[in-house]
Amino acid sequence: MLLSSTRQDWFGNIRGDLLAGLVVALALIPEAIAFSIIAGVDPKVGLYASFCIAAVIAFVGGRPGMISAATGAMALLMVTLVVADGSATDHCRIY
Amino acid sequence: MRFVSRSVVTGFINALAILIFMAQLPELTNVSWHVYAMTAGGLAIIYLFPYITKTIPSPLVTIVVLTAITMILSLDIRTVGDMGKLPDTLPIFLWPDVPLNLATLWIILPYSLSLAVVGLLESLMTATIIDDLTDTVSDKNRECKGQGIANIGSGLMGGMAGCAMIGQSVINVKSGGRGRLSTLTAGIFLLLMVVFLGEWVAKIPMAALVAVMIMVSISTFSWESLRNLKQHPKSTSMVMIVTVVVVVATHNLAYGVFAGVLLAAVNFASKVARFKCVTSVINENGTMRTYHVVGQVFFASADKLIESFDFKEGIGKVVIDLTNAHFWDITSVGALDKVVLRFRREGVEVELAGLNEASATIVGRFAVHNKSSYVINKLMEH
Repeated sequence: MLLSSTRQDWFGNIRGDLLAGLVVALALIPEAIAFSIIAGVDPKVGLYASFCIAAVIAFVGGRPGMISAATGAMALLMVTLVVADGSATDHCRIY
Repeated sequence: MRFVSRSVVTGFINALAILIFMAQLPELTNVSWHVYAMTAGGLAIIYLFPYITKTIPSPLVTIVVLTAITMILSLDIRTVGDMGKLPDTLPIFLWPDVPLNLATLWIILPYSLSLAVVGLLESLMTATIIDDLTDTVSDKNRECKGQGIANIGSGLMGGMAGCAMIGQSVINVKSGGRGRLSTLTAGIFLLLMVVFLGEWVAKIPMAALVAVMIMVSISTFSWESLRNLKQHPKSTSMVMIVTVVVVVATHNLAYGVFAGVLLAAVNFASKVARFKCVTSVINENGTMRTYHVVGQVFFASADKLIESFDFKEGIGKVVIDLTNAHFWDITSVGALDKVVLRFRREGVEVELAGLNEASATIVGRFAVHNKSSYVINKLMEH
């Protein structure tokens, strides 16, 4: 029962999922960049975040078909932290 | 989540839309007319292109066309490349390079708390919207845990915080995405395109992104809610407006939701408190009066309860019929005590009748009028 529903969650709609995923990816890029700019961080911070969150939530999320990524609401919250502490790369350094 | 009413959710969404729009304004001030023309052109493409074909998403067309125009005319306007270097490598796992001490914790704690609140709130609201759209159910507990794991993952890969996206999720469902594969595909395509086509992405003019974000803002805003302002009860509209105002003023979605929930709760309490009424009948020979208490008695209606009795009537016996009343808290029990004791002080015999089971439990536990006479005497001195 559980196994079959997991299979349904993943492979119940392969064609539709792949195409929709591509459209969403294209729409996500400018948003991820824009949200990084709102937060005052490098575009890659938002882009990597969107990739990570989408890829991880695909496995551990509770709502199949819902897209999670870097968002404007979250970016707005981080503005003052980034401003106060210079650059967000102090907090999430990637080198 | 159960306490977040419809109007708070609407207020939250509207505030989000306003904030997204306001965040675009810096890109539109102190710039040449080219930027305004490009933004306007971008919006025109976004809204008009779907009339030609819907197979290609119009925001994508906007970005491609505006980038092409900028490159052909070699316009000197801000591009994504000016914002910072795009990554040309895949993200790698690494531990955040911050000192792991209390000072760091105190800096990040307030931010992480509001991020967690807003992230969960937005994710759960989006999940509900997708549930409605697809006519399926979702596991909200699993989603909450998943958001936590995904954000930890993002942090460890050098990313920022995120949560579910209302706009993108709707695009996904409308484009035919239903399963987990769609979310995974979106993430992987995104990374591949950025890393291998980064050169092109860097040439996208900011005006194109501003146009896309204005579209996101307009489509996020619930225009219906403005029409509903006139029809909905004033208190409901008030909750929505307060949520919006608090969010826009504080730039913090969590504060707005908190204010909205609080106001909705106060509204509810005062509405319920109004349902209470006390009627009374006197028997034929004028020696006994029966009061009928109907409704919810709690902190908001307790004072009203005391005011509805006539203590100075000079009658022999009073029966308080509580069959249709419910006592909720110690404030209401305290009020009942006061009523009984005040009648006794006037030398009136009091009888309580018809207390329902739940009320009887709380009255039995906290009331003093039926306890030892010492306590009563103590109380009556005051």
